[in-house]
Amino acid sequence: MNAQSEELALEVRNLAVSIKTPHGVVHPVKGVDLTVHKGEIVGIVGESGCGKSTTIKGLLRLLPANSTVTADKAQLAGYGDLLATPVRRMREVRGAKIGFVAQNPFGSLNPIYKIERQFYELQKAHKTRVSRKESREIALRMLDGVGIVNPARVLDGYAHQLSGGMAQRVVIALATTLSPQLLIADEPTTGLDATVQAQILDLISGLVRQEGRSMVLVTHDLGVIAQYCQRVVVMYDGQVVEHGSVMDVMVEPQHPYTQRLIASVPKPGEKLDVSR
Amino acid sequence: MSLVEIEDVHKVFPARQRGGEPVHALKGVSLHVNEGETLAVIGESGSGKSTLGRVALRLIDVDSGAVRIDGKDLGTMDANTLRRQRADMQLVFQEPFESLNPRMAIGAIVAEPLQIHQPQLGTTEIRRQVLSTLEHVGLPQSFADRLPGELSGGQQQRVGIARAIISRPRFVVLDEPTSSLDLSIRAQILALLAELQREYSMAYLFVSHDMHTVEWVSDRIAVMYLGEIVETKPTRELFDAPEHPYTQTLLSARLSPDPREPHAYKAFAGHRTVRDAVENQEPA
Repeated sequence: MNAQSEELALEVRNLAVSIKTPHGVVHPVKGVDLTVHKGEIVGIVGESGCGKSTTIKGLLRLLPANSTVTADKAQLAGYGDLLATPVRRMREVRGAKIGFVAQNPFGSLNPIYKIERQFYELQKAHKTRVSRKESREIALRMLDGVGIVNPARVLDGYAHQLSGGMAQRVVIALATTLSPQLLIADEPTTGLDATVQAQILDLISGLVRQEGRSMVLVTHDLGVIAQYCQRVVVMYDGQVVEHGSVMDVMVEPQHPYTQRLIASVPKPGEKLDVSR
Repeated sequence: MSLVEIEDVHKVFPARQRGGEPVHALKGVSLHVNEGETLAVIGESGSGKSTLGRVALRLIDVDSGAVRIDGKDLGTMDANTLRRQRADMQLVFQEPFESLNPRMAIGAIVAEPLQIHQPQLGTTEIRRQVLSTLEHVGLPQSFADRLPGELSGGQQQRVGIARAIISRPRFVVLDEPTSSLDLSIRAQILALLAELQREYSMAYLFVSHDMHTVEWVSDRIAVMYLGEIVETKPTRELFDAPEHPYTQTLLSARLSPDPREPHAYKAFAGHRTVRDAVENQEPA
């Protein structure tokens, strides 16, 4: 599909997450392997509660303090082992090495800062010397790059003035400002309208292709997997039940769970069969 | 034969803030729903599709135009007649949990429409019908004594469906009934709705933003865009030969789960979201 190399962008082996609760320890992720090559988009798909978001949050060390993340390996190319990094130093990784796009853009944007300031804070947090003027120029360029027609107006406004699709574009611009080589998007278009979803996914996959980046795309939507990913990991109950190229997994699923999942998508041109 | 007729309905909601713009949610909408059929109304957020669903049940009054069921005008009905009429027209909500009283037992929730519409029935008879309706929607009778919070999302939606069908309505508005459910649960609920429709020959007005679902369940589709219906056609015809540019855009945004069928999203010139239109922004 596009220029993929054998070079690894991310290699995760046997990632597990356990969370201490008042009712005992739960294990939402039980040994997940994830391999992302340079230039490719890898999808993680599964239903609610399968551990797909927890896997990502575990990797990014965004889980609350009562959780423990372990792995044999969590190697990020051009950086090192993510789990060997102390949590307090992960701030240097997130944003600069890994760009993160969450499901709800309004959760990622500060409601009381103008958008411009959020670009400034991001850059200031990662490199000390950036003037307001430089920061604004960079922000204008980034917003233009994500297809926002009037970037200056968006920069001078607040998050609540944006529609969901516009806000997600702003978050994508923020996530790519420091040119991270890996993007992680957790249900980036869930809750958006279909036409906006197609626009945003076209935008994200374009950013990955143009810049030779890689991406992990977490979704419950098999259409998103089939149309935008090259490889896919299917999760169920905290484990990977099947993985492979999208062509193989989506066209000829091997695992019964994947088969069931694909069978429950209404197919174009097919009438609902009530007898099933 | 058409059971429900909506004729040239307009609805404007006043501005929420001082100095804001009023929202013209329905701009002269006309449609009819035939007995026993599923008419899907598809559109994006803010297109007016949920307003239309509520207008069809007279949960919202219209500014002008008429809504008729069985030829009877809902708008001119007095409160008592309207209340009796409501046994015939029910609603299933998008968020099952939000639509169930968390402190009421499932049995009591499902019994309510009967208590209202058939007050002559005794408690034993009501209980009997509640239990058989629960069974009908695929829930064990023992669930009657549980609370909504003890049920999964799919089970909660089955309760919502049980409540809607227990008074044997001929017309049910389904407002995004499966969009908060997981894929495999979604398929089960859609199959249940189809089964119940066949059994009781109910007409559905199926409000949705999901084209896969709509294609699967509907006989005809009405496409809404900025408060207007731009196209109404039998389902197959609409998917094979969409006429309006907006319908074409909507269909091009469908993402097939089969990687051998690539999509090619095509925006049409001047495509605006409702927010663009209200705030007079240029589209992104």
